[in-house]
Amino acid sequence: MSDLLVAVDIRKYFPIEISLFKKLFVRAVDGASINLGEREVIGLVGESGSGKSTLGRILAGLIRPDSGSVYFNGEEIINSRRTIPSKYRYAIQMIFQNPDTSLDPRMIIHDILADAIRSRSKGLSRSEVTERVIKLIRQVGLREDHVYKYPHELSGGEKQRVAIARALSVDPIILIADEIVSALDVSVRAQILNLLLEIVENRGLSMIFITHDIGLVWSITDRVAVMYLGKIVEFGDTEKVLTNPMHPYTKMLLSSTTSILIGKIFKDPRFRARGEPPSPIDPPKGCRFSTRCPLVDKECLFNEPILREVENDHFVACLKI
Amino acid sequence: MDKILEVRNLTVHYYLPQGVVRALENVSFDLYKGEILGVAGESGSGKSTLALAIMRLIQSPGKIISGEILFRGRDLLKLSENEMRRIRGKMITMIFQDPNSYLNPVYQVGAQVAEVYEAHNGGSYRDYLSRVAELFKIVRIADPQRRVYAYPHQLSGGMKQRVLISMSIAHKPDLIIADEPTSALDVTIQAEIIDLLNDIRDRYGSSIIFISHDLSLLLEISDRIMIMYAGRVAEIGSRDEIKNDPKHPYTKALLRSLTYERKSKLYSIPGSIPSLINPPSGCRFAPRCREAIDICSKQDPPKISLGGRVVYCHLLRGEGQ
Repeated sequence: MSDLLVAVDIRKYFPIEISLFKKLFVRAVDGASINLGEREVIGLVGESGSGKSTLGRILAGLIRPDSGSVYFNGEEIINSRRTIPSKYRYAIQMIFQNPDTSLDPRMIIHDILADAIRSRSKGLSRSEVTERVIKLIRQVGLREDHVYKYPHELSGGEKQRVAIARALSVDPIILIADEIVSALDVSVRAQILNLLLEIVENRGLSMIFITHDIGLVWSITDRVAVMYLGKIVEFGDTEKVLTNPMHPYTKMLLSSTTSILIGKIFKDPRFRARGEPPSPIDPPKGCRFSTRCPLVDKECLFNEPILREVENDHFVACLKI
Repeated sequence: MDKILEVRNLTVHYYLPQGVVRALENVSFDLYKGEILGVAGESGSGKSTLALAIMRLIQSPGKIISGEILFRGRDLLKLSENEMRRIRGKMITMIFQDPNSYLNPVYQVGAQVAEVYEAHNGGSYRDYLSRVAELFKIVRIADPQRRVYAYPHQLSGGMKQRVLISMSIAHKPDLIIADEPTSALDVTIQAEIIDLLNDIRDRYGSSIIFISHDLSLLLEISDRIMIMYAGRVAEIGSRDEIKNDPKHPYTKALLRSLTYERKSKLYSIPGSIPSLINPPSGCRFAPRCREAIDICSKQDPPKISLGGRVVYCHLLRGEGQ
């Protein structure tokens, strides 16, 4: 599988002003690398504050990293000086968790989608645009009359379908889906996900699927990256990572989940959660997981582990492996 | 075992301009001393209305139409507001989903918890701060002496939920109603909160009604589980019965939609949750039920008792009584 998108050593610190003379930084993403192949679905998991959404936004070109580069088809498109050039903007599209904040409440669905379509395909006539809008709205399982409604007239599931339609309206190559079903009921959730996966499959798209739900990772992703405090601590084939996790944090995550997964998923009460993640403003020295790790010893407090390949297609950042 | 709570034929309606919402209809169940009863249902199943009804906090346009709520043998619905106020917050307490909405951002958390003592025992909140610190220790808040003086924004989501839990156990309650207490939290934090609730049950012998949309979570923590659908009880059984031998078609479908198989489509229950203003006649699940027969949409399902468990379903007419 050739790599479509490669991100190398991405860093993003957000400044917070404590006082006029004192400034601290939230180290949201602190040296993360990831690669996405053609027609591949990668899961990005971690607790809140792990930096998974920030990494997603950087890859989508919505914010600029402080350092590191992103390559699309071998060409550098994002670095600390620039985000995606306009000719590649369409290629990577993001879908957000909350459609209430990502859809303009003052626009009808038709106009929301039409704006997006025109941004990619200039010079289309009005009727051609409307034709495309209706085609899109049908693709996401809505009816034609939905396009003349405002977002508030739609249910949560319907709004999320519109958000998917908007992402598709520019014919992207990569989708970045950030917790897109977390706010939905189980039955609606399955419908939206099945729809999205069908579209990804039919159009031959690649996707980075950001979630905290291990069950979804198991059922839809090819590979999974586990993030903790701005770093990727384990990355590899989903089957390998979930059945034979090596990083103690991945083990904790899997042992804390209650989802019903069919398969030999790792679970061990000794790795049940303890403690809360430290603040990303002042992450622990050495290994960032050392404050919660059941296997911690002296070297973990001083040396920072790096991500290395421990078996084919399975990378882990832990000194104890 | 002693029954701490008996709910009999509880019916709650909301009077809206659009019509009467039949939020809860003929709900009956028992709760034993020291038991954790999980209540599962999607949005609109009536599970939160049930919690508010037991607390007698249903407000206009809502109204408790009929039924009995026997708490230690006394019908809560017949008590005066003054008598109820002595029970609420002391013998029956509640924990909510979003701790931010229930903590005042401009007061120190210790003072807010101390109010619970003040309200029932009189005096000033200052007299109780040392007791609050002890409570904080019980709910495993690190550095309790100092955290008493913290403001809500200085605490993480998990910590805030612990503060609310400490409030709910101040008077060693007989019954704690927890409405989605972990839904806003990460899985690792969720696991810790669950351990904590278990400890509290063991320590004080409190019974807990744990309300969640996540049946897989309830399967981990509950002794018994009640499945609700569209304002009615579908099934009540022990955790193992619900997990391994679900009887009601809705329970079966719900379990299936929470089960993740590697690289396979997610199951979703066809159709959507009915309107409670115009609920379907007969069994409310009938329009979505794969096993439905003629009678299902004509008559309300009978109550079938099978040993200790209860199922409301026409299909089981031959079994039990």
